[in-house]
Amino acid sequence: MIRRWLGRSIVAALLGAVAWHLVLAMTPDTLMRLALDRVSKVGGPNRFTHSPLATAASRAIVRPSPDLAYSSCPFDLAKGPLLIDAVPVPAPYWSLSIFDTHTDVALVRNGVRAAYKPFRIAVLAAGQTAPAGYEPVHVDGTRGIALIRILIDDRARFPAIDQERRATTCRSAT
Amino acid sequence: MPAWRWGEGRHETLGTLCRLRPRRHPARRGRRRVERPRRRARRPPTRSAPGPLAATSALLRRAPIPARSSRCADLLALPATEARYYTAAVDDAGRPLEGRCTYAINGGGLPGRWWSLTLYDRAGYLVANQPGIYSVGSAGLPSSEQAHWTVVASPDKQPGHWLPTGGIDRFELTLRAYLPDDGGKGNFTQAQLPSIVREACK
Repeated sequence: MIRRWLGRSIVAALLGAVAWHLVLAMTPDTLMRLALDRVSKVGGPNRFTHSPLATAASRAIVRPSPDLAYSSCPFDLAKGPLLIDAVPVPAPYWSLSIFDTHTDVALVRNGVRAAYKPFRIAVLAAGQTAPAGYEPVHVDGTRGIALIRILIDDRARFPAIDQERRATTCRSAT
Repeated sequence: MPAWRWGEGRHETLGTLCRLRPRRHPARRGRRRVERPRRRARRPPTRSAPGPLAATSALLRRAPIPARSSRCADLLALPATEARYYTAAVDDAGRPLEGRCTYAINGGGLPGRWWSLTLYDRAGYLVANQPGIYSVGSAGLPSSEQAHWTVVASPDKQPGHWLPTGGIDRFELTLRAYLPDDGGKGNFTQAQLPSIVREACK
């Protein structure tokens, strides 16, 4: 009797452990897919969407920084590389981050490191090559998101910065 | 009792893009569990990671950053080299931060290019207030206050640097420091992080 229940308990524990690890392994990709679908609905893939500054009425994300302006470019590399022409805005903090389909960071470049000068990035899936003049950044999978953060130290300056940040573009190479 | 704990990557991350439906307004929601500092010792990441590095300053414990994010909260977070995040849900005496009370938050220069202090409700949203003040940052401080500053969190308007609490039940503070001087390798010390002292309550 005890042996039978012990066996069942061990099997149940093993199944639970396997299920747990499956959930852990699959969650990042699932979450990223959901996030990409949500962001893409706003502005579409392979182009930047520029969000307004967060206020108390903002409910899209939790703990938004009221000091940062976000621009996001959800990308799909199925048809070709993503080309980003980045123009850092002269703010106390500016950065471009690229996240792959697993939510891992493939690249973070801030304005200081870029010397606040324009630069070009080609986001590449396996087997793709960067066009001349573009720095290659390889990612796992074919989907992800490029995210720009800009510190707005004075909200009165936001309208001007909002215009300046639109100089940064992302597009499919095809 | 240490007021600050490491941020768990929940902050300024677009972390809940995975939340398909917006939450109901916090005023309509029930009370939530009080979050407490984690007890296990933690280590910093050894590679570019999806979540931010942070630490419970007083305990000098280091936060682990998984090689791969497995939580909604870690989505799209900056790595430690770019930003550090700390959150306080209690004052220096260990009491929950209450919106009906007034707190003096005293700090000094932080080892980063820029920092800001933001007040959230317990659901993680900015708190509505008439002047629309949600944060105080180093960029807004005169040079004479960079080395020693005071921010007052209060339901009522205060002279100097005021963070309105909106009179809500409980609130939390998030301290963000961008481009840390050490490249995100170490932890801020207790002495570097601001103190939170309750002065009065309504």
